[in-house]
Amino acid sequence: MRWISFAIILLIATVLEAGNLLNVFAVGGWTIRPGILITLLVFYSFSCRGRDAIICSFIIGFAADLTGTVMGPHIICFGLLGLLLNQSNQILYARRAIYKVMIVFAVYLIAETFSHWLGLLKGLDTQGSFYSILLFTAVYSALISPVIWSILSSVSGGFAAMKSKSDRTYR
Amino acid sequence: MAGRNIHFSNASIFSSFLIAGVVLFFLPKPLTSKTSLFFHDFFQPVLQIGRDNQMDTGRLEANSEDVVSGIKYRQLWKDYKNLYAQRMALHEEYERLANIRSGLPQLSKEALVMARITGTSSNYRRELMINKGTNASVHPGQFVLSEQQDAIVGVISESFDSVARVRLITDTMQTLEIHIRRDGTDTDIRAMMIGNGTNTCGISMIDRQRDIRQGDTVYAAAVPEKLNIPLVVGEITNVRPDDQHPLLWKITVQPAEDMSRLNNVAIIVANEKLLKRKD
Repeated sequence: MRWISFAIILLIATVLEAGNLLNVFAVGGWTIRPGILITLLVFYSFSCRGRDAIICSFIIGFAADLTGTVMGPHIICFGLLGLLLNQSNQILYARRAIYKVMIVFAVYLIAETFSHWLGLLKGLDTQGSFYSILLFTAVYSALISPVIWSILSSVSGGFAAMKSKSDRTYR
Repeated sequence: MAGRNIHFSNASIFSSFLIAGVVLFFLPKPLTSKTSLFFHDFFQPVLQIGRDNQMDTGRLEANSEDVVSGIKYRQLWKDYKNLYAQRMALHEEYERLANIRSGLPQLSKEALVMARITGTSSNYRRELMINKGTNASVHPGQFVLSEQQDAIVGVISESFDSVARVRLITDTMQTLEIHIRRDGTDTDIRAMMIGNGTNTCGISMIDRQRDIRQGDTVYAAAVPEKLNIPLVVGEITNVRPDDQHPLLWKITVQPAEDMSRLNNVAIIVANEKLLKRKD
């Protein structure tokens, strides 16, 4: 696992998610922006070995909480989903873009819905049209996920190859 | 060598992180939100990149005749409504003085702090981040005005050294005491307004016998030490009977300020020098 490249990628993704730059790509009256951290979660959960995937998922969850209002919900949800994705990567691991889109879509819906419910426990309120915004953001995030995935693959130096090599070495 | 023999299983790593997450989740919000605010504070210069471009795009669109006249119209409308509210406040003050019920006019205890918007919280919340915090006397509960200082846009919800979070009036967590008034009449109804979580706000719990119409103006009620005079918030765009409570109105308010166009805001802070002088 290349932790330095992971840290740099995560920092860039977190700053993009929290900042204004993604507003350039915002669409519709709800100014829906794509989620980048969710693609990072799916990518690293699939690409890393068990231990690294767990650590990455929790750290990405922490970054997602930093961009929001309440600390905690995303760490828990991303951590659990990261473990689940990592354990099921033999079944779900997708090379074709359409599978990546579907997985990111499903993971985004599950992660954000559960984070929202945890946020309600922490005293947050449901905004009007929350579930519509959630659905459209999931669609938008999923649609751009193959692009982010390819960028991550090239930046991380082809994790898939590294994984198969490390699989042979360690397992 | 002994260190190399320490081995943590995947299960123990997962459990440790999960427990840390749960602990963080259950810690009081004022404690944990400092982390988020610190992040926004530290990366503020990077986070606000893109805001200018967005505003420039908006301004370019505003060059077409219809949009320009629309913006001008909104601005004049707010000025007019604020003048009307000030006249009403002066009239009340005059009546009080005429009846010898009050002493000298009060000193203005307000000062304004201009702040730049650095970002938004997420897709799901109606909140903004600004680049002024406790160092500039910005504290939770203070009113936030539009750049022209002619309309209420929100309230400070959290503040850190040089960053603060503004909860917009359209957020479902934000309630505001308001007056509903109509030009040329004595109509003045006090009520509570709450954000709808969309681009509008709602007013409920008003008896259907009260005369409220589309086009009536909504003002934020004056709050001692925070807002000296009522200031325009928006306009009533829809009045219909509440489906769940047929004896009450369900009112929709369109905020006077377009929140997506905001670039700077003004925060009303208590002017400590004036307060001391008065004491």
